[in-house]
Parts: sequence; structure tokens; C-alpha cells
Amino acid sequence: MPYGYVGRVLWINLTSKEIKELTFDDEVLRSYVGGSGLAAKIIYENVPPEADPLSPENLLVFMTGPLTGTIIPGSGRHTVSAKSPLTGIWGEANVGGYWGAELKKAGYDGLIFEGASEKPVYMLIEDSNVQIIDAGDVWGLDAIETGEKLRDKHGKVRVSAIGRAGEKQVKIANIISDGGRAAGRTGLGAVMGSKKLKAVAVKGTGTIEIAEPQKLRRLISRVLVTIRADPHVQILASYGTDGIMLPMHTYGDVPIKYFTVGEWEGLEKICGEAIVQTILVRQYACHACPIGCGRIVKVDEEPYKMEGHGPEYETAAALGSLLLIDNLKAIAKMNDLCNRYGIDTISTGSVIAYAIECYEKGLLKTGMKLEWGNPDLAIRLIKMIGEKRGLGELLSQGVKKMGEELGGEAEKLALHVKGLEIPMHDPRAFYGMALQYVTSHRGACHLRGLMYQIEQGVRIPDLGIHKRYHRDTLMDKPEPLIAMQNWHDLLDSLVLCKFVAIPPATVAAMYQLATGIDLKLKDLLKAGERTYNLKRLYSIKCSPIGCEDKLPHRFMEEPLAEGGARGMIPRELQGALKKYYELRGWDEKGIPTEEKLKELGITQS
Amino acid sequence: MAFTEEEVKSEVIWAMKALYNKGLMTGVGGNASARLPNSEEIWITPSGLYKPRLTEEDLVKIDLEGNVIEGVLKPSMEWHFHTEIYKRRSDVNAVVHAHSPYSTGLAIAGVEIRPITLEAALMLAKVPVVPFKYPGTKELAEEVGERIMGTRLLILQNHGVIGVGYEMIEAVTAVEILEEVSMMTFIAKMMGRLIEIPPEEIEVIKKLYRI
Ligand code: SF4
Ligand SMILES: [Zn+2]
Repeated sequence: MPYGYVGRVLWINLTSKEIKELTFDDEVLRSYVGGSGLAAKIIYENVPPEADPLSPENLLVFMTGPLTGTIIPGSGRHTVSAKSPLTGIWGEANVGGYWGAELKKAGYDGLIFEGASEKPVYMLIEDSNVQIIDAGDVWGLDAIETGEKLRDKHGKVRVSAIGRAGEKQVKIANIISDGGRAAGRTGLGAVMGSKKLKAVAVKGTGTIEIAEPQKLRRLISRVLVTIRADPHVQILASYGTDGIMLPMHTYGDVPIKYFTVGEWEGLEKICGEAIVQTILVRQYACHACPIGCGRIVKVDEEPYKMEGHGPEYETAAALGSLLLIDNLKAIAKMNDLCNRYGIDTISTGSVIAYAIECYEKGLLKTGMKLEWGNPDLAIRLIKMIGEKRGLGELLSQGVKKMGEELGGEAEKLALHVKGLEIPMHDPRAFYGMALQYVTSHRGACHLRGLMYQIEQGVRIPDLGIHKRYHRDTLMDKPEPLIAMQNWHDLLDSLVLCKFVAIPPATVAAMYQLATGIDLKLKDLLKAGERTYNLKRLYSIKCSPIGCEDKLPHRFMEEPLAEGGARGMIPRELQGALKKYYELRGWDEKGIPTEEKLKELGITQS
Repeated sequence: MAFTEEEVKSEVIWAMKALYNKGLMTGVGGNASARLPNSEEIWITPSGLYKPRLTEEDLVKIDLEGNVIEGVLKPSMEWHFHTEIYKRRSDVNAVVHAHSPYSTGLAIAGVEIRPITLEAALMLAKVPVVPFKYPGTKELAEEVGERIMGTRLLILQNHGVIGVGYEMIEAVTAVEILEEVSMMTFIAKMMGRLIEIPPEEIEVIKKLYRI
């Protein structure tokens, strides 16, 4: 077993309550690394593409990587993967905090859940003491209360839990760790709920063995100064991820009123600076993070009284500008409610915005009065989604299903790629984001590619990104995008935070010092390419939507009338896509070719 | 970066020497503390001793409520604001306090830092000023806590400065940069003219650097 890993993965059958220990041989670890890359291999080989995502057949895979829980900056994250109940294709989400590091200290690189328990259970892992425990006393609690209760019961455990939405298998349900960090996207909380698994509580006392601890420390000491000096990092540290709101707005990137308006003065009230000035009580950093982009906030007045994790950029936009809500305290409350119910804030803001638009256009009939800029309405709807009650039942399925049910004109207005709601970066403002969204294996993904950074002039020489890219061109984007997607897929395997700006060659050096494996950057990037292709292939096998690489009508036909993206439309998307497929070694339908798969060592079952 | 308790202590000692040698504090003026990431216990300089000659044995370990856990001396009387900062910033592992003459002097004269260099434009644009409170008091700590979010530097009115960082180098460097720009400002003002970087250029810089 190489260093960095702790060597064991638990395979837990929740139907039979049987628990097995797995180890992976070195070759597999060199090829798939860990995190969501290794999870992809496990799911590809074990979950038939036709499986119902909410059936016992699906697997729910919590995975760390060889760097998780080490002293490497940004190594506090872990990944959760499954076949997605929201999209029906490959699903994964990435989450920060301390849970992943704790799991490794307890001696496990990952947990694979199979089957479904008859009664609600939770899992307790205290080093080698592993138990499946009746969850009668926490089932029905919200995700944050569940963590508190389990800590009361078991001492200082780290908890990943679902809220009531996950229990009810709401399709946009997520999994909450450490009292407010979310494995947000693709509805994985519903998979956990379908298995009747309420929570996983972990406490570990072991250590993670490193191949070259002294050298690694020395390297990190030298890198840290440059990380903190990076101006992007300074923004994240000073204002949190929501610090990007105002600068991004100058490009017309921040979605307003469900992507229909390009200017809105309300942003000033909900940006990162506003958070610092009003509701912030503490900055939060994940394990080994020099940045601390997390915000702990507090609102004292009813009806928005709350204390806990504050809105990140995606949340401030999805629950704020997308709905024309400029009341930061209300947004903090909405975010808290979403975390408690365990629903993804991006998808939640999107389904609400979509419902309001359809209602206004007469395409959705309901007894409620749906309108923009009404936080109390939004709060009511969040509760209804979390409880799958009334109109919430429709909304809880995500915009794609909503569109199908409403039919006709409404279907065209649903903004998603492959069933996953569009994140809070407008693909009309950065054309590279258009190509990024449509080619992402999990549906519209803002985190794999980060093209809006490249298109603002960020250069990453280690990835061959040397030149200045502009945001309004498309034909030159396939190359840098592919490089970035492979790189980010690798980061999700290692697992490292994408905000901690460590140059790729340095990451490779850290990987070598940590694991003792002699893979070079180019080999590691190959692993990123491998997992990117494998996930794509799995998505295509699951559903034809897996290679439906297209943007919703709005982004292709309706330019914004004002603001930084006024008049912009990523018209050349088809052409760029064609070039992208060629460079990827995919056929004209976007399916990885036999040669490509062979080159990557992926066997078709 | 400190990865062990021993390293944490030696960084605190180093910080005091560095700030003293740079003329940012007198031998009895400043103080410093540091911790391992996420630890609820910090190592802080003692009260009353001559700072540039401190050794590891002189340091005091306290928890975030000020209870002494290790060490025979009394913790710095400014421990209140040190712990207040750690409580609010989990990304901060080092805190220094100095009496930087130019930085403090400009604040006393009511002069703001203008964007005269790149650092001044990007990092020092909004250094909060903490209104005067008696040193060593809880009140001072509260005022510091209110303003420490989202910044690496604070100016204490009629008193001195505070620098924080993920590690000690960063905290000390922040204090140094503030002093450097303050000196430039002072010199330019003395000569009668202060030419700023044009606002368009700052916009370009900000756009280029911002995510
Ligand atoms: S940058 Fe933010 S999300 Fe990433 S590890 Fe640090 S605190 Fe966590
Ligand atoms: Zn002082």
C-alpha cells in the first residue's frame, strides 16, 4: 500500500448489514487515484446503467483521496458519488470541512453503501469499532440537529447527515457535513435516504503515514506564502466566495431574475463585502486550509433569526439575485433552512425561480401567488420542497422534471444541462462556461473547468495555458477547457480544494512526497482524463441524455439587454463542440471512441 | 509554517526579534502569539519581559478563555484581543502586535493610506482603524473582534497595529508592508505631493487579479 492512503475501504451492505473490507491494488490506485475517480470505477463496474438510482442496487460512495487529511493546504475535502436520482446519469458532489480527514484518521479511505436498510439506521465509526445503529432517535431531525444529537451521544464525532428532504427522497436533496458544509449537487441525499441511512458519524485517532514527511513540510512552508499572496485567494479570505459577486457582475456573469436581467442594484446588499459588514461573526476554514472562505453568520431578529454557516457565492446568487431578493438576512435564513432540510441551494433557488417565471407566464397554475423579490414566499417554498408538500412536491423534482410535467412552452424555459440546474455563472458572459457546462459529465457543473477564471486572463503554464483568452470567443476554448477539466477531475480524485491555488506541478510534487508513488504531472493528468472519460461513458450508458450536450434555449437565443454581457450569445457552440469532441477522441455524437478507451485502459463491460 | 508545538514557539520568538530589529516596537512594546491550525490553545509572549531576548521557556500557553495551561510567567496583558481573533478566524494561526511608528503616526494625524503602490491599492485599501480603548482591556478586544473579519491588518488608534496570518511570516510581513507604505506616504507628504496610481489602472489591476 502506498503512503498517503490508509489502506482500507469499507463495503457496507445495508440490507444484510454485512460489512466487508476492501483494499485496492497499486495499479488501480495509480490509474484512478482516489476520490470521485476511484468511485467512478467502483460505480461503473457495480451499478448497472439501467438501475433505478433510488433502489438498493445503487451504490453510495463516500471517498477520500491520498492527500485528504494530510498537512497539504486544501486537503480537507471528500467526495460523494452515486448514480444520480436527479439526472439519471453519473452523480457526484464534493464537500469541505473535516469529515473526510476524520474518516482517514479512523483508518478508512472510503465507504461504499449498498442495498437498503429496512429501518432507519446510522453508521458509527470509531477507529476499528464500526457499527450500524438504529436511527429511531434521529430520523425526522434536520441535518444540523442530527449532527448535534450524535455528538451528544458519541462525543466529538464528525457527522455527515441528511435532513428531512433526504429522508423523503427529494431529488435535489444533499448531504450535510460538519454542521453546514454541503455535498450539494445531483441529489445524493435522496440516495442516502433511499437506503434509510440517516448519518455517518466518525471519530479517528490514527495518523496518515507520509512517504517523505520532512520534505513535504519544507515544500509546503515555501508554497504557503505564495498561496496567501495570490490576489484571488485574498478575495476569498477577505470576503468569502461571495467576494466575487461584484467583480463578476462587471462581466454580467451574476444571474438576475432567472437569467433574464443584466443589471440590478440589489447585488450591493448581498455581496461578500455586505456579509462582512452585517452578519459575519467568524471565518471558517476546512481542515488544513490557509484561506478560510467559510463564513459563520448570525441574525438576531425574527423572522430570520439564525446562527451557522453563511451563504457562499452560489447560494447568495441562487437564493438572492436569481429571485430578486436583496435581503441578506433573509438569504442567510433561507440558506440555513436549506442546510437543515438538506437541499441543494443552487437547485432550490433555480426551481423557485423557474416556478415564478412559469406562474407569471400562466404556464403554472397554483393557488399561491408566486412573485419575485419576496423572501417570505421563498421561505415557504423551501419548507414545502423540504417536506415534499403541496407545490413543493413538483418543485422537489428539479426543473427538468417540472418542465416535462408542465409541458409545452414551459419545458423550453427550464434551465438545466442534462437535468442539473445551471449554476450561478451566466454562459453568455463567459463563452467558455457554455462549452464547460454542456460537456460536463454530471450536467451543468461550475467547478470542472472554472473557465471564467481562464477567460479573465488567468494563465496556468503547467497545463499548457499560456495565452490570454477572451471571454467572447469559443473556437479557441476546447483546448484550455479540456486541460482544465482533466486537471479538476484529478483534484477531485486527490482530493484537493480547487480554490487553493497551488500550481499543478507543485501538486504533483506534493503527491509524490506524500504517496511515494513516482507519477509525474503528465501521468496524473492522464488519470484525470481517464476518470473524465469513464464518468462520461457511464452517463451515456445510463441515458441518451449523457451526450445531449446542449444549452437551454434562453442562453442561445435571448441575449441580455443590459449589463456586462449585453447582447452576448455563445453562437459558435456547435462548432466548438465539434472541435472539442475531436480533441477528446470522441465520435461525432460525443461518445468516447474505442481507441480512446483503449488508450486509457477502460474496458467496456 | 509551524507543524509542531516546538515550531510554533520558535516562530513566536522569531517574530519578536524581527519586529524589534525592524524598529517596529521597543523591547517592551509588542507581543505575539501562534497556534497549530485549529488548536484551541495558543502560545503567547509573556507580560513584562524584554521581548527581543525571549526564549522558548518564557512563552505561556493559554486556552481561548485565557486560562494558563503551561508556563510560569503571566501571559501578555493583550491576550484578550489575541484570543478574540482566534475565536473568529479559523484561518488565522499567528497574531502580532507592534507599535509601528509611521503606520500609527499617520493614523494619529488622520491620514489615510492612498493607492500609491500595488500593495497599497490591493491589500491596504481598507485597513480598519480601531477607536482608542485602554490597552489590555476586554473592550479593546471586542472592538478588535468586530473589525478583524476579512482583513490581515488593523490599526489601533493612538496605540499601534495588529497583523494576522495563516502563519507567522504572513502576520509579520503584513505589518512590514503597512509600515513601508506608511513611510512612503509620509515622505511624499513631506515633499508636498502624493501621486496616486490612476483609478483606471487600479481597475485593470483589480479585474486582472480578481476571480
Ligand atoms: S478554500 Fe474554502 S472550501 Fe476550500 S478548503 Fe479552504 S475553506 Fe474549504
Ligand atoms: Zn501595544
